Amino acid sequence: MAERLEDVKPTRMELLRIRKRKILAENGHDLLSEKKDALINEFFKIVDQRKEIRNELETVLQESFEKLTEAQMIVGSNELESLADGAVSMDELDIGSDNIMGVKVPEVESKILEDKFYGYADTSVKVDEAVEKFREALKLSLRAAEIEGKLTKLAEEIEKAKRRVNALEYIYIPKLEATIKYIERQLEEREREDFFRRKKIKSMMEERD
Amino acid sequence: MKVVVVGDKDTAIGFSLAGVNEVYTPENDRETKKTIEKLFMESDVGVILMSERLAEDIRGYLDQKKDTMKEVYPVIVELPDKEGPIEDKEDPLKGKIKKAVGIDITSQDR
Repeated sequence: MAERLEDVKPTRMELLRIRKRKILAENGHDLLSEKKDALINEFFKIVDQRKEIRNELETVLQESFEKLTEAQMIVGSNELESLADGAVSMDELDIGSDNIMGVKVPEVESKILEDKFYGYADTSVKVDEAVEKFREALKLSLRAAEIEGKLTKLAEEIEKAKRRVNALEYIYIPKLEATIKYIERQLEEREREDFFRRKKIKSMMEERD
Repeated sequence: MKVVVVGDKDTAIGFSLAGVNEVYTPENDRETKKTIEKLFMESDVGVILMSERLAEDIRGYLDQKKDTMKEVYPVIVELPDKEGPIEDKEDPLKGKIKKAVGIDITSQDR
């Protein structure tokens, strides 16, 4: 038997109020568990997406590093380093936030550069290839960032929703139910006493007559 | 917002050729932590691309940092480096996923 609410007067008014509260709590519970299920659904979708992106990213990165090594062999690592130092960096990202079922999640807009930023004269086609590959890797990384950010936020939110659903289901609603039972019993008891009293009075009156 | 790379030299060169906004090449754990600390303080860092090996070395610190984070940003993405992905590396999001859905769905192939 769950604990009942404290400080309740066993009156009919109170009973009605608590019944209303129970209905409210049950509605809330239904809504929340629906939200939780929807979030979990979304979560699974994103987990799948992440797996794909991750695999792709890993292969592209591998290729990128191979190209980089080739470029290093041809133009020399010092030369490549100075190229990297002089590289034009992309515009700052527009990072907004998307909304999944009321959960704020990151949304990354990629603005990867497309054109060359160095002269043709003293570089090799290998450098171009490396740059190309790394741009691809960067693009995928940003996608991965968005997805992993989403995943983290969703996971947190699911946990929160779970905790709330459980609190309602196992603590709050049983408590209300116990209180309702308690009040009902008290009222019945009072009724019985009343009934008995009336009977008694009646018989006393009859005796006197 | 900026995209920042924290990684070994090759990762840094590659990604700065690709055009990321800033690169850091910390030499040891202490420097890595310092860099991360600094990046978390800045408000305009959106994405941190980090070498797996560096992240692995400061795993405890990183997890704690992520757990206390209120904002959506910065997002840290861990990338394999030149040597390829670390074998049998534990997925950094595994704990989170497990907590959310109750089962471990990262390791088994679904």
